Amino acid sequence: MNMQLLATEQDQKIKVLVADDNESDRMILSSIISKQGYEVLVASNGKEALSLFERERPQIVLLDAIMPEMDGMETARSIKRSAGDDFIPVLFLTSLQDANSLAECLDAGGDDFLSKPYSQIILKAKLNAFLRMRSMHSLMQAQRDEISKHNRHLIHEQKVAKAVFDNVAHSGCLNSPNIKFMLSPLAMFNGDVLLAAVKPSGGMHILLGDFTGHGLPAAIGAMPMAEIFYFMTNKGFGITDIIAEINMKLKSILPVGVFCCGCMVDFNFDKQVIRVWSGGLPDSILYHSGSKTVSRIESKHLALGIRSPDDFNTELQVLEMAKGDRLFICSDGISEALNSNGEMFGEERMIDAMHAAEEDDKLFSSIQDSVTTFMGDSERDDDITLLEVKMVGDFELLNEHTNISNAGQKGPKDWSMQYELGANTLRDFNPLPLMLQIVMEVPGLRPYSGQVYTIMAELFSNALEHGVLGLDSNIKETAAGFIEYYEDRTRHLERLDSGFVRFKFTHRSSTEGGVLIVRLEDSGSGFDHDDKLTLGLQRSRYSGRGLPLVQSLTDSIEYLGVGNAVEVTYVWQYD
Amino acid sequence: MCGNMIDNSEVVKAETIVELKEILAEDFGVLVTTYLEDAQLRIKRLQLAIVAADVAVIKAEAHSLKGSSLNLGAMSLPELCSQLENCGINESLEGIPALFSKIENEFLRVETALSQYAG
Repeated sequence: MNMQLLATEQDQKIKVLVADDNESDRMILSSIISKQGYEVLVASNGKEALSLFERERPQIVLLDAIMPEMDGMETARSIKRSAGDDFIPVLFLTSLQDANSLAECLDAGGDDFLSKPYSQIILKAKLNAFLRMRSMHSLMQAQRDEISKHNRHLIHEQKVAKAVFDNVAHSGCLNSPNIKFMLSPLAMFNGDVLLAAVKPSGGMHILLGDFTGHGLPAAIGAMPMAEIFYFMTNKGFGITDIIAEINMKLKSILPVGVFCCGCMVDFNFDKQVIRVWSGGLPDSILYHSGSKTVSRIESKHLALGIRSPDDFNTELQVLEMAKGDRLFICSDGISEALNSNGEMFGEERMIDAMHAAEEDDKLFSSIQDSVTTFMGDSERDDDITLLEVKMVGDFELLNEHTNISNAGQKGPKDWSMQYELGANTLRDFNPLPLMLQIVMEVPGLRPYSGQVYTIMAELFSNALEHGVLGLDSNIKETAAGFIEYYEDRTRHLERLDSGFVRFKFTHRSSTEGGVLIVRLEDSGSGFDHDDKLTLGLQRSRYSGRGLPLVQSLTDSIEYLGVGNAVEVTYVWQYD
Repeated sequence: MCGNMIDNSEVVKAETIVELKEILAEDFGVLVTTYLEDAQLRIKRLQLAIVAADVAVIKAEAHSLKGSSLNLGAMSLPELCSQLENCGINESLEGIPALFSKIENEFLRVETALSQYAG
């Protein structure tokens, strides 16, 4: 396109404007210039020159400095103004001698002088030189315009992509009242990702990821990561399945040298326990509200996207968190933030800032202020992402995220199925997401996925843990005991070589909704549920909130046979 | 004839005339006529301006005559015009009448020389 512009200019005769009040001078110049093959436009004063310039748009202008009407300086200024971005060389014709007058000509926008008497050779050389400069200038301008067009296009694309990215990477339930976060974009896109989602069972998954690098390359990996996180959490998958899936996906799509440091946490608001997988990030900090002390949670694994699925370690750290305790997770941008002397902010300063907070609600802002003050005016060279999640009691967000109604839609309404899992399957397969997915095919049932999931999860864990594995639930009474129990469960599962859990579902629809009957049978020895079995008695065997919760959600619960089968009836109505 | 040529070379630069003839070819005569008419007009204006003590006009006309005379290869005339222009710039009217008559005389010599070149 640039070349075309220049060619057009070359095809037409180049126009040279000559303005001189002296006719004999004009004659000499005109003759020299037309002999070069240029078209000459002549003016005898500044005013004429300016109007001729505006009408004919000559490529180069020769101006006498001293002319009647409008003098050369003023004319030069007007022509330059009128030319705008276009480069129009202005040469002053002069017999002026003193330096001040010559300088004045240049100040007025003149590009060179031509002194009297005119020399054919010099004029020829100067015209050639300035026309060359002009072509270079036009080429540069065309390229500049091209670049700025590309740049505008790029920025537009980035804005659109950023909007998509933000929808994907910084969404979920980040606006929950128990979450505070700070994301400082170093570039338009940064390499940091914050994800939070409510689990069907009512807990919460959060994930902070810090991709190597910045900008688009760093942002790209965040898309599948977020998608897996939300999809699997929504389907009821557990933290180990999700983190393993994310690792596998990142490993397969990211080039060598690009990976994602990350920390994923499973919040259990009922048991006041968190399970943490952390790889490649600085220590997370757990603030104990009661004692006003902090403990660190080390990052025990390699970052995501490095290990192959076979070598990937999903081992979790299980920690108690009392109501009001807060978990702080940050990317290395915060601990490595530099002040003007090149010192790092460091984790110690972060903990000091926490101790300095007057009350728990000011912990987050105290860290924020401390980093900002520390950094002063120095340049930030990494993204600073900080997340605070508070342990709360009953979590209220359950229904906000499951409000998709599919009443009246087509789908399975009357059906039954049986699904039996053997020992090899039970050892490392969580059937709940699949079961939930099947049951949620029932039109209109989706808003109740949380309740249905909870019912299935409680019955399944009872069947597996107490029935098949024969674990004693008494040790679960304290939070510390829960951790021990969890470890026992892992050990027993690894050794499991016989047994089964059988799901039986029956669904019947009605005009108002439907009835779902869930029956679980296990290979365990059962327990004495003989007549007058009360939930109080059951609680002594199955401690915790499990069965009372199931009872509160269902219309009936009944133990059958030797106690290794349980059936609940769940009646639901269209939302 | 020969004496005249030597005389002319002191008044008008021969090289300039050669170049101008090359540039303008058959129009050289027109150039000379144009210059002479223009110069005569300016000299008349100078005379009036001097009587009226109008320094601005003195300055402008002297400058213009200097420029066109330079271009026609005049040897001494541009310098005389320059002196007059400076009088205008400095607003010193004292030596002007003497200077002006020098210019008138020198112009007559230039006119003679150029007319001969234009032949």
